Amino acid sequence: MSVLTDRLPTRSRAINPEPAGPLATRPFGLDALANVAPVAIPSQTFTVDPASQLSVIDGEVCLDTPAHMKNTICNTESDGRDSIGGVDEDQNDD
Amino acid sequence: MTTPFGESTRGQAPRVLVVTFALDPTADYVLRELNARRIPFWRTDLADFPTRSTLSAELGADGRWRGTMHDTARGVNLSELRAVWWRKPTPFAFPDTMSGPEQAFAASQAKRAVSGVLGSLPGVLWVNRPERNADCTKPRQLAAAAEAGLHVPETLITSNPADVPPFAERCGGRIITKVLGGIVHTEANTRGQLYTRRVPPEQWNDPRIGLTAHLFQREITDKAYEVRVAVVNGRTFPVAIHAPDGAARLDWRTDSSSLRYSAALLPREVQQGIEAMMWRLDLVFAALDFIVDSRGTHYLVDVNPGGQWAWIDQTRDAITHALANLLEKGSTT
Repeated sequence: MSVLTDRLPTRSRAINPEPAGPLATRPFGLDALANVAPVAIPSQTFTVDPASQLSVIDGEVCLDTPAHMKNTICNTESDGRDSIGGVDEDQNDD
Repeated sequence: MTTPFGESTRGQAPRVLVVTFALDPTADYVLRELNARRIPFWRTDLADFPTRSTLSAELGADGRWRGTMHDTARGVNLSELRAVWWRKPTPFAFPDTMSGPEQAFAASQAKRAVSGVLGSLPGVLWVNRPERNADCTKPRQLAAAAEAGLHVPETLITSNPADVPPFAERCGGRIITKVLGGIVHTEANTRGQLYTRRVPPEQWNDPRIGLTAHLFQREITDKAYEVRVAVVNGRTFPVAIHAPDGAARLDWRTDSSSLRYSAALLPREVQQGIEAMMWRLDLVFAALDFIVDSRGTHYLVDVNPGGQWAWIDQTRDAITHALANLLEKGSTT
């Protein structure tokens, strides 16, 4: 039995407002940070279709809407650039 | 309560629970297949609890929890639940008027109750158990891979900058660093990614390495291509990923629009190693990343227990059906 059984990994979509600290105490690993971009307030709403239980963006079932699926937000890529790729909590997952 | 087809679910309450965020097109492929098969399921997110979903469970004298977890449209009878697909849920959500300490208390209660009740139900298939995902840290997965006979690049995890130069020398002077967790980082209302990057000699003893633990690996300099392998209950679905010269050559995630995919076959010893590693990690599903060098050696570099797979056309349908079969069956045997 794992000692970590009370852990429940989730994916946070929250954006941290706190600014970076001084370089002297900035962890070396954060030097790899790329594609830094401001995060705007999402203009789209995500819901679940009550009948099919499929993902819905602005009232349209995602899988049935090519315009959505072409967008990186639904392309399910593993590059961390879309809203699906939130910040992992207790999990390393791409 | 009705099915997506308007039929009564009386007598066929959902036996499959899918836990994920409201936007999850990868999961949608499988859910669409379950709908086509008329397999009742309930999709929910932890963020729905307790404002939009309810848990009610009572312990019987036989040690079994009985009750329901449901929202206004659907739910599961705990006695009938057969499979849980743990995808990418977002955290429990509580009223904004709760103070920080109150929210922490509420989250602690919810976390232990939901995962504890569901996790103690007998005979339920988990894909995967969340604690197994949590346990699948980079150090543990690399150790499990090596124990299973898979090749793993020489790896150093250290908070001592003095460890890095000799390690780099042993690696022929070519090392990379990558994060131990997820690649997304947010701060100052911005969002960025932490991709794999080379560490040049002038940075080998950077004192800021000592500010926390860091992972360094030998760079596979004669990389031929990479392989993404989805594993579903022992079945493997490998796809070769070919990146052009440039940033994506070191980390294909930096320019995923430039990638080309092709069919891949895994050597027998790699297949056997994957099976042994998955057993050691107690995972039913994972998306694995291998680097293949010019001699055909497969180096395991990452295990993603809830990893993505649907963006690759070549294997999407096969993985969709394998996962749907598994959830429908509710058993790995």
